[in-house]
Amino acid sequence: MKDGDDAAFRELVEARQGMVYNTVLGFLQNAEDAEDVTQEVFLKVFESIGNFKGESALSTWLYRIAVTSSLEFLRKKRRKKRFAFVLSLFGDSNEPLADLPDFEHPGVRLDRRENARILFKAVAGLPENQRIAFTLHKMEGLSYQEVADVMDTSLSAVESLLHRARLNLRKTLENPFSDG
Amino acid sequence: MERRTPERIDAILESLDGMERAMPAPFLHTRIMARMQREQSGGWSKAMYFLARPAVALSMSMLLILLNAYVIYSGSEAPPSASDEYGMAMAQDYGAHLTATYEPLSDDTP
Repeated sequence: MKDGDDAAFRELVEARQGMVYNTVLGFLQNAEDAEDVTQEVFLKVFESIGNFKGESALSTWLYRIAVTSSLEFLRKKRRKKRFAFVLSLFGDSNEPLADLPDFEHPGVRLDRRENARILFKAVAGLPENQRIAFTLHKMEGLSYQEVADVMDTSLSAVESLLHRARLNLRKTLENPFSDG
Repeated sequence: MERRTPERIDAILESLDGMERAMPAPFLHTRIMARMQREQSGGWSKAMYFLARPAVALSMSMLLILLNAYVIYSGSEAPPSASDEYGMAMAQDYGAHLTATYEPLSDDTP
């Protein structure tokens, strides 16, 4: 792979596409955007595999790239939205300002989809680090230690992040209008 | 609207338990390779597209004109350099500073 071996890259994509796509989808909550960012993640992997020193597991490295790329995409999208809003004040934009429709994850059991839709909306409002910890733990099923490795932080910090994330989510969900 | 009960909130918080991974559309590797090729071949065309934009092209032209004007005007005000002075001295030595007249010689010319 480090020698630019195409067969090895194909193998890597086929073996890890699920974990990358599912992680990205958890952050972006939009299948089309998630597909686009997943491709970007693998392009970055192809270009920077030489920098991978093997100090962490390959999966940890991939998760890091997936999380960073997703957050970058969200920031860019927010900036675009703000710009479109400013343009709309001058009556000079055709960009829709409304939020995207509710997200339904295809992997959630049918009888839980309505609840999951409400939860995804609440998760999108969490502070960034709490959101990363919650998404990796709940959607990818990573252990606290694995989450700590991806976030390059301590186990106790992850425990604290997840505890605060649950408190915040509970507070948001108590509001009956939180499901939009 | 009533507040949600603690049981309902717990059900919402647990709604992701046991979920399955979502998978991307098939042939992801093929699409990645196509995108890679597109991005590699698109480098020059992107640069040309950028340069051909009217605002960029106009700004570049203006900059070029301003640079030319600066070079021309700053050159005319510069004091004569040492080589210019040497050239002028040579010209004086050889009488090149005199206006040459090529009038036809008449008979009464001494």
